[in-house]
Amino acid sequence: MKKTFKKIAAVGLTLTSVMSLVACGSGKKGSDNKGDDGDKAVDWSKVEKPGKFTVCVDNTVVTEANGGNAFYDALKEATGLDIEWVRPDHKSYYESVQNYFATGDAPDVVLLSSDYLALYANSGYLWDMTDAWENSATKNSGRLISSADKIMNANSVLGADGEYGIYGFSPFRGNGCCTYVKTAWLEAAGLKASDYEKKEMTFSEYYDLLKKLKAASSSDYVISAPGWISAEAPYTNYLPEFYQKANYTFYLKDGQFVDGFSEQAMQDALQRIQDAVKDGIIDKESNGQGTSDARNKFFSTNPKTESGVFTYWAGTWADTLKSNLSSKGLDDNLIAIYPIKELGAYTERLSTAWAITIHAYENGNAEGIFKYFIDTMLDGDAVQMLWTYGAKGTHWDVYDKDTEFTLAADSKGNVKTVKATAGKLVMLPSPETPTAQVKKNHIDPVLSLANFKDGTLGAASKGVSDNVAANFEMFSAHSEVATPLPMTTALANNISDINAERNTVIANVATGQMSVADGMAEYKKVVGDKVEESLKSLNDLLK
Amino acid sequence: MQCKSCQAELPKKAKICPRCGTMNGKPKTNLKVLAVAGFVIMLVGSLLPFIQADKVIEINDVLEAYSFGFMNVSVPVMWYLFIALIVAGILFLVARKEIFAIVCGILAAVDTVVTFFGFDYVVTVGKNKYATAGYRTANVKLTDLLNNGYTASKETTSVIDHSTSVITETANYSVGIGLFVIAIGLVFVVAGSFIDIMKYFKKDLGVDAKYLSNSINQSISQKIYYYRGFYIMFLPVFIMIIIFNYLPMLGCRYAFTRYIVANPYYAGLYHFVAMFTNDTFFWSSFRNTLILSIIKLILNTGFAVIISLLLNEIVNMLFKKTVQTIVYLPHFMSWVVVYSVFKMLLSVNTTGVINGFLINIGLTNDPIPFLADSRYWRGTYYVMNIWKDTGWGTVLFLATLSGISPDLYEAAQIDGANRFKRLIYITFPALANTIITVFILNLAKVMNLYESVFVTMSDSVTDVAQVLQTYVYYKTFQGSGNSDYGYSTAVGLFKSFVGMILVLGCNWASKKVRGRGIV
Repeated sequence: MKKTFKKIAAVGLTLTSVMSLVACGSGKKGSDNKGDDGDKAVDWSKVEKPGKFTVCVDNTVVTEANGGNAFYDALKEATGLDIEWVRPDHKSYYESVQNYFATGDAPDVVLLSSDYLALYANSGYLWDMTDAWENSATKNSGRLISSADKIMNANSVLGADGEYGIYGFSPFRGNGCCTYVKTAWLEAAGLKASDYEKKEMTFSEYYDLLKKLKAASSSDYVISAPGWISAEAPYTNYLPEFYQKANYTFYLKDGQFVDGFSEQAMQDALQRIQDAVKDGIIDKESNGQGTSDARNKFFSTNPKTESGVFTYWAGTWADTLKSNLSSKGLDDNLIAIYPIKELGAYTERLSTAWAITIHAYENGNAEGIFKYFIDTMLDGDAVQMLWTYGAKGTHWDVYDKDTEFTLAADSKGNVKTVKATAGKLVMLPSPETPTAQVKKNHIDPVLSLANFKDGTLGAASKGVSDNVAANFEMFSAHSEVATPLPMTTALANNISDINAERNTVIANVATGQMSVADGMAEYKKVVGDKVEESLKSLNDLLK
Repeated sequence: MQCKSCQAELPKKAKICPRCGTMNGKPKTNLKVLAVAGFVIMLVGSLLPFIQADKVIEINDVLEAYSFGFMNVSVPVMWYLFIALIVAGILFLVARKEIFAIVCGILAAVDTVVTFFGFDYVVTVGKNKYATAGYRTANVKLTDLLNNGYTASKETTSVIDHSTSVITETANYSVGIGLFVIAIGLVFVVAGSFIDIMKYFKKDLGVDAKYLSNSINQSISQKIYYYRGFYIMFLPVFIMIIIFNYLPMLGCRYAFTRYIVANPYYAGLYHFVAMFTNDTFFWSSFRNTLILSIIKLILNTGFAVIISLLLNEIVNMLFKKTVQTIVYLPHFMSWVVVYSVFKMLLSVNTTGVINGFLINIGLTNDPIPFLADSRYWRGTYYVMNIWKDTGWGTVLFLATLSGISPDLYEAAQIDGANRFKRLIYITFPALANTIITVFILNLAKVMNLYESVFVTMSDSVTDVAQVLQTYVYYKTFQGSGNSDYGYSTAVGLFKSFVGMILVLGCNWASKKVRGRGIV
């Protein structure tokens, strides 16, 4: 009897534990759910400060190794907000964000790219900030730049309820890539930088230039590209002169969505890339090469592996590229050329956006977080200074009189001296890399969506070099903002396979393993059905 | 009642003779494996659809009314009850109470029938503005769906002018595979409870069971108490295995759900159908996994044997140890480092040592893209693997070689056998058993190919390099967050299923070769 009781007890305990385990994550099954649209009128003047909340960011906000804690403290002092910062690894940032949402452990505020913003909004995981934005101090400040509406409209995406709404806030423009040419390479080829700096070349002229640079150098290539194609929209931004107006993915053309990859423009682009690789213009090893590999080749001190032309981010990077060249003992003079005629304009990517998750909405914090955290980012005053330049005394400072300080010696023992003018902002040595000054915090001053209250963008009176300002001015005048692609289920199901095949075709054509015609035939054979299915779903959205 | 061995009078209900220790009463039977398999089949059946739509209705990103099974019944406790009965049935089989196990199986079948006819099922019909409220759902009866079908009618918003239009779609239903699988499982449970298939695989040793173990006559609780020290030491490992190895298995159910971002809902066999019929890269990844793993295994084992034999012939101990250390070292390098080394050596630019050498000796005019061309990638991958792991693979073989009696070599030498003959007739036969063992043990792991491929592949070699594990990774994390975790889980589940078959096959082969299994 005793043994039987034990057996029954053992079976009972096992069953209980199994049932409790199975019950885990069973969610809301079975509940007759007719919905909750969650809309309610808000009196914004009465919204109170939120309690402690979590903010998830990548390394575009100063890292803790680079004085992040000083920024956190200064922000807390300026806003009175109690923030718990979540800092996943930068390289796997979106994998971490995906995991947070999938496990129900989403932060209150999260920084998202345009793709993720559209996905999470459409899945019902982000708070609709349309009303908040319309009533915000930022929008009504009169300090917004002229393209602010266009940038914020890109954050108007389809919500889970089938209605469009603003689900993210972008405090700065998306920026884009422009092509830098080393002046030393031009001079070695007997050319003058001034002849090319403000010239709108044709592709033929540009290619002749590249050939001359190649002939004058002992390197295996002229251009080091971070892969044949970029992983995110606008995709073609690292080799814009070769892709020209070719579209990598689906886009709206004459009122219908079409597959840009199948078009003649892309076939011509692939042929140009194949020829350039064959001619030793583009690095043969661009296949699978990351941005850091390509950058390192631009900074290489080995004449065999050094590149002379590099398409990379405009703005602050114009200075970063120079300082890196300088730290390697190379000539740091660069020119950023205008887009070639066939390209027309460089592409500005869609900006990343701050989004408030439904976790904050559930806790009743969404409105407070918007008003006191997001809406203060561009207050034109102390908080905007923090988001733009970091913490005073750690990342930047202003001295009463003219001062000089030195940066740490670089690997070659060179010591750079920085002169600070009395009463003007100067960026301090980077806590993480003391051989260089801090460049900025989250908001690039030249890309900011709103001016400071004194009417400047920060560039003229605050710590932005003339080089950066001039570079971004050129980029601004010669760029267009990328167009977002709407997401459908069929597209979501197929896009990773379609893009994988596109990348394979590009890589095989570029390295000469396939002709363009064979590549296109292979593309249609492998993913033709998926492309058709995706196009149909996109065109259904137009009905 | 008397003892059948010593004829001593036994106390009432005694199973063991207090005088001679002989087991009396009904002999212990073998575990009814067939019935256990039946319960497992029933459990799998509970994940499969009871009824199935003839077409996919997918409006506004919601898969609507595609499949219905235990996982979307409006009263989920019926599914938990089903699982509880299955678990109880298996436990009864383990306790050799077959009759109770049959009762559990029949009750589980009754539970299925009651669930089918007696309860409503949940249809996911749309999304709420905020996912905290879950999906918009409605309840339906399976009998209604079988008789009348299902019609979905939804508003969609134009991407151009944000205007709305209405889309209407209808699906008809048939009985799904889940019911058939549960019925087959029940047949196995009932029939398997009476058929002892294990007896055909076990030899009767003709020895009294009490001599086969030092504690055979004790109950399980007595054994546990007696060896409590060992069990306490084992407890942390047991808890860790439950948490990290067994609990995650509950996630298998997501293979049957639509799971984008969060809030999964039942989708039946939707992903498996898509995987087997509409996924070009799945089959190529499966093929690549098998080709790369098996050839790698053969080459690595072969080279490890050759290196071991060569090392064994070295007389100078200092030189031998030095060589051993050098060939072991690459094993401790990460694949990222190994790839970087080979990338430098095989560069297609003028800095590439290998290509420079090949061009200089006139073997080729143009550099060969070893890592970026589908024709060369696999060969290069095998070479990298051999370089990295051959040294480590020699450890077991060298241990075996050191165990060969020197007397054999001496005797052979006296008989006039030269080095080669000693290798063929002494060394190699002694090594054969270890080679087969190593081969079998590694064969069970062929589906677990990930890091080496992930690090070394690039877009231009995907067709020959993509393996199932890298494919799951790309499907999950490379779609700008659009990935359906359900689909990735389905691919992973299939991979695990093939892996399980390989492990069981290798276990069987291992038993045949070396007398004991690997699991």
